[in-house]
Amino acid sequence: MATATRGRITELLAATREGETDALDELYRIVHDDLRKVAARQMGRLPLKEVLQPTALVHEAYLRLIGRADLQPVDSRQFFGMLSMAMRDIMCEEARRQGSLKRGGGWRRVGLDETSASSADNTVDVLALHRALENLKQIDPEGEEIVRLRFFGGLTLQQVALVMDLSVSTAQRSWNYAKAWLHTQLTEN
Amino acid sequence: MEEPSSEKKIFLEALSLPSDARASFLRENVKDSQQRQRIETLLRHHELASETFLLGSSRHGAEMTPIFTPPAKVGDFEIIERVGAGGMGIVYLATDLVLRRRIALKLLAPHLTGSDRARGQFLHEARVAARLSHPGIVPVFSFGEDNGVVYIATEYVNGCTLADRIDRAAEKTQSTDAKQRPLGQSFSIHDSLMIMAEAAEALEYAHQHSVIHRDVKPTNILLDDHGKPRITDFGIAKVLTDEATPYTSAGAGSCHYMSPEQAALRSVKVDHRSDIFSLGAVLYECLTLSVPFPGDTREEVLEQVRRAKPESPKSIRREIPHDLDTVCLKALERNPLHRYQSAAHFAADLRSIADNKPILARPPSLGRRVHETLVTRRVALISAASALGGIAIGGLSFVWASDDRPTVYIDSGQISGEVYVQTFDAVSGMFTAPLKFGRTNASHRLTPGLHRIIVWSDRQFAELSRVFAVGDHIRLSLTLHNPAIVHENMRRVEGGAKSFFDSAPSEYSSKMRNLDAFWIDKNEVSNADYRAFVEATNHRPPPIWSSEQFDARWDALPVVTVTFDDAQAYAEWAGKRLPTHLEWLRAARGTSGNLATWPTTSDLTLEDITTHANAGRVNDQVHRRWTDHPGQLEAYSQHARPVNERYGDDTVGGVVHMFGNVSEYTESPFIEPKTDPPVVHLNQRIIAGNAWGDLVASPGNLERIEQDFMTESTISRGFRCAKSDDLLQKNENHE
Repeated sequence: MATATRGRITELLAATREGETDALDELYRIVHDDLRKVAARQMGRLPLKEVLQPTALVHEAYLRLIGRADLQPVDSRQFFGMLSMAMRDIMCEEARRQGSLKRGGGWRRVGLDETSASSADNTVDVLALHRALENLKQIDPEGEEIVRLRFFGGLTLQQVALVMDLSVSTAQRSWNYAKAWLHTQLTEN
Repeated sequence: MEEPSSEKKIFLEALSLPSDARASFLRENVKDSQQRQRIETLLRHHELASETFLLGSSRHGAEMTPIFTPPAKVGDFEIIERVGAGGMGIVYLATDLVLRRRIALKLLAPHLTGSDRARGQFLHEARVAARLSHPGIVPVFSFGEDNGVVYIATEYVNGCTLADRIDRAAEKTQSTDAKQRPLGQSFSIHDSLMIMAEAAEALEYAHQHSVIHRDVKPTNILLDDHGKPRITDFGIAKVLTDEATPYTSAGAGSCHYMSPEQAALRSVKVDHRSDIFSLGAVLYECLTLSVPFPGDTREEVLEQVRRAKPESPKSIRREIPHDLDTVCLKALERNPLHRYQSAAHFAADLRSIADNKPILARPPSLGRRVHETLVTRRVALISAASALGGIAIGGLSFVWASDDRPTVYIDSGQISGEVYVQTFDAVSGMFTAPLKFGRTNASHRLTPGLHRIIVWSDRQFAELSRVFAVGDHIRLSLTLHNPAIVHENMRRVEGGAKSFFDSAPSEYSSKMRNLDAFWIDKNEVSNADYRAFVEATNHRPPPIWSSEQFDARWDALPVVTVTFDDAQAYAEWAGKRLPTHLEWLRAARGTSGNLATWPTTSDLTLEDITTHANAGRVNDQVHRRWTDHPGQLEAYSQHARPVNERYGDDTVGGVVHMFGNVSEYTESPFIEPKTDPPVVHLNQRIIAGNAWGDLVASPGNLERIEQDFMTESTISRGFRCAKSDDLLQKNENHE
């Protein structure tokens, strides 16, 4: 990692905290490129059809970023929101690239409980989900953020609640609605 | 298109109703049939979408286990390998480079380091565990932050979790005929008994120290290489005497082991018996390899926990002894009152089964009366005073099952003595007159509440006060002291009729008339005094001492950054107790009403106070909670005065520094003003007097009611001790 980048990230983080949207854009690009590299490396290591965990990706990327920046207590909602967006975009790019693999495009999100892996619920078409989320965002931005942080950001509900400064029960209710809404969209269409 | 937020609102309202009530709710509240249909569709899909839709799930916690590369070195620790993951972080095996030992290092998940709430919770976890020192609880070594990485270092337990053990046993079972369940080799009943008994004893210890774990589950019970259980992860633990407790909701904790009161989603009182339920659920799983309340979704499980009775373990595994079946189901009673009232009881019954002895618990069908008789006979304690069990105290009547009354065993060693009990009365705000309870080295039953226990034996003396809760079984070891020696450096203050409040009647007037004579320390307790105590007892030193700049020459300064509990422990060691608020006031103002040997209250200016009494000198943050901020130590060294230095605020009775220097703990609980019946906060005690570290000092502050939680401490709060006057003559009246 070039030291120039390290200084740059620190600057950008500071600027982001002061609400400069350009800084956020540039930070996003750096994060995105970084995630891309990590993803490529992880994908290369995994056998075919193996699952790439977005969580693992995001955490690794985050750690790399921490290593490169003099991190102040950051607004973690904004920062983590950005990471989850970068993650979503990378997964969508990957899904489009591997267009021939229809469902999930090789990107599949599974739970730790492999016994239920046969359930169709565990395989989500990333592109369809992305489209559905964009629609959800129009009517329920909070729900969209929660799903994005959980699905693409790999956060647990408790972590989402912490990051968004919601009570766990509010987050849970919002999640219930978003889940029902997305399930309707993804299965009825 | 309809207002979308209203659709969400109606959906969520409908969802909170029982499913059969939803249709009529929607018919009544949604006029637009299209919108109604849409909401019905959403509700249907909410049911259709499984718990794993968009997520994963697993039996022992659904945490995603992020793989990330930690830095090679964090603080003084070198990371070796990842060993596990918890709700908030990842656990690594690491080497302590300084002490050259292996430790477990828990790192706060990196994305959470920016969240103050998450950091606060992580610190809370470390602090709670640091209060506890028990072989069955994983000790915390340190907490820190290095280059953005927040960590807790704990002892490394070389072994596995109880969840691993259960899973392995379950795998073995599944690989053979599931109907036969040949569990014997993988996880014997005896193993389960010993593990759970030891875990229950560790929990009992935590409960005794006012800590409720609230997330007891197999992944939080580690088994060391001898198979001994070690409880860990106090991430959402509640400290009963603590203000700051992490959020709690049905979202926290693992639903399979959650007590009904936790699952109820309301913020009802969750006490130590909730942990007993969770431990019962773990026992159930050890015995049967299945959870007591199964369900496909979290909602289903919680519904079961709230309403269902678990299947008898014996019906699942026939070789389970009948008594063990009873014990397990007793721990899993839905009503906390019907459960074991202490983890110690639970542990005792588990050990009795292991030793083939009779247990205390009886199946509910035999009737609770039988149970009570058995318990009473077993504890063999019937003292005359136990007849007091049901009376109303100060207008507040307590209702409890008779076998739940707190029991205290008073151990006075070789010397036997008379036991007297004074009970704190919420209405008068005072302790009642001492009542003779019987002899020491025996058990006594008390009412729940705050009591002062006094022991007299041939002119030797001991006293202490404690809060006793329903179901408590407490053993108190008292060391008797010679009053003549204890009275050194104390001043006797007369009780009785005359008091300065007579001229200006107030709520204190009548109370003062009833106040008994007492003794009070002339000076605050100094660092040197406290050091003698720490050296003699190994009690934890005040945090300020561990600050690098702390100067040994400050021995004469008042000890600070001690909590109420610390102060009380010191007092007991010294053969004393803390003064009540009334006693403190009386000592401060004498009988004349003069604050001190200087002029009367009305003539005092603020300047007089700050000059003479060393109060209100600091106007920034330093007087607040001790955080080892360099400014705090500096302010302490500049402003705190040696306890025996006199600067003109002696009371008529010769007691020094009542008005200023440090504010002081009293024994009196905080009573909410203007409540009827009075609401007493036994976990908050009144702080008396001004301090150099106060923002403003005023004469009125002498009577101010500042309450504080008993586990907090500040840089300008200390204490002095008091002692009841000799009871010898008085005793005869109560024979």
